Amino acid sequence: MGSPVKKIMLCSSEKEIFSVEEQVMVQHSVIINNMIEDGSYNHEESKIPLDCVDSKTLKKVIDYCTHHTHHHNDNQEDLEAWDAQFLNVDSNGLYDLLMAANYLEIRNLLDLIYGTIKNMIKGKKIDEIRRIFNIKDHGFTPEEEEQNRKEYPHFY
Amino acid sequence: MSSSSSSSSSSSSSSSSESESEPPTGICLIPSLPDDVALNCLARIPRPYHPVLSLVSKPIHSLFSSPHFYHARFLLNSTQHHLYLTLRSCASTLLWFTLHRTPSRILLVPFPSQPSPAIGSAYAVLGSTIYVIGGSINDVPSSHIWLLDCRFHRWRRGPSMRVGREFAATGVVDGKIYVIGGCVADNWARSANWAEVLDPASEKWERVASPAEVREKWMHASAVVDGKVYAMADRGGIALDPRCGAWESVGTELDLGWRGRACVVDDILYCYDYLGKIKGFDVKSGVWKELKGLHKGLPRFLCGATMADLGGKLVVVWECGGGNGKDMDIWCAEIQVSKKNGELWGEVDWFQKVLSVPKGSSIVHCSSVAL
Repeated sequence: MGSPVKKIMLCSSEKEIFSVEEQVMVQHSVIINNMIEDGSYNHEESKIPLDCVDSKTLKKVIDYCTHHTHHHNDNQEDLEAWDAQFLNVDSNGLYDLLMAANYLEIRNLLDLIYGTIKNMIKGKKIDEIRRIFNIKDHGFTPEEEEQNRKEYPHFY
Repeated sequence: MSSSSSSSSSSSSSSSSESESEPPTGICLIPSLPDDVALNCLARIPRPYHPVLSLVSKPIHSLFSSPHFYHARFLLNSTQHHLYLTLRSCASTLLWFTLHRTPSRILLVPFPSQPSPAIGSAYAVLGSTIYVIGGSINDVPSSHIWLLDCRFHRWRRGPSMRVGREFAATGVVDGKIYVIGGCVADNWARSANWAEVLDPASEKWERVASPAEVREKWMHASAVVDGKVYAMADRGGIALDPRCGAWESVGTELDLGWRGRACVVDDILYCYDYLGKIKGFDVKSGVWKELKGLHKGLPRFLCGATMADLGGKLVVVWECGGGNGKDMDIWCAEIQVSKKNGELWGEVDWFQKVLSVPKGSSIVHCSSVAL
């Protein structure tokens, strides 16, 4: 019989505690891996505060890491289908995930999100891209904007 | 971040004197994201989408015209290879184009040529810069160098060579540009500097010692294979191994088979033979082989065709008589090449007409640049 699965505690910005298999987070997050390796995490007392990650996002991040730890032998197609379903969120949800993945340094999730954003932009007109990026003030003067619209009407 | 990639590559980013580490200040690229994350995101977006993205907001517009952005693309391994084509019009002016690929179409987009174009310049690519080397102006071989910064399509003068040249051979080895011949060795300076090397970091040309007997030769084409500069020349081609400074004659097989413009993909030197078929030469085995599998209607390539290694694919650009009497067409094909059971196989990804120009124009050169 093996020893019980080691767990670590993650604490969201709402101070909600999530208990996760240590191995799952160590495999995926460079930051958590470093904390465990250098001994700055104490299994008896510590919880890892993630002040910039809300509960909803943290739950998704844990889902991602857990799935990819336990299903890494699945065929590529199934994993990609799971990833596509996983990232079926609105752009704000996607940016929250991106910030969390960036903070925790989860590289495969980062690559996945960057790829998704790249695909969201492809073939889009300028007004749609502004909406996707939440750009309210584009910073061009009215004259510049008018000039751009005149010069590149097919982009608008 | 995940930016540990090929920063040791010798051919990149060393030549620019601009600051590549400082981001443009006071901007917010994507309001929901900090700028470093937004930069990581934008730097991965393929270049065909840059024109539209650069009009999305002023901060993105400024980012896309900063060296910082291209440096990030390089670190993220997000660069893509782009084809640059030079044509000579019937009025003898030089025309520069870059090949644009969007999901729906492929076309050649023009941009201004260097301020004083010459005839018979040599070309070399280092990082994101095309070096246009020498060539004659009013029939006088020039020592001038023009640098095209392909990121912004800006021209600037580079350090002049020690002697003027036209139709010289060139090759890039270990991040330095070697230039061979293209001048008459009729005095001490031209004999001593018959071959030169440019270190882009110091921007200085140094002479490369050459044996007197090779200096009679005129160069017709050149290519780098396995760290050696090969030059096709009159009465026998020559090869320079710059790492040990050794010169040698190329073997008879290579010499007899190499006709005109060539390029090297995956250590195989490709050119087309007098029947217009593409063939490849493996320097290690010393044998020419036909590139098989090109049955999809490619024409025979005649003297106007030129080739480039576009990030591991073989690109051929050629001239073709146009529909009416006044114009001619420029066609382009992208071919995936592979070695199978000792044979060379090609698969045509696409080929199509990319431009119409007045009859009497000709293809001068094409280069591939990673941006």
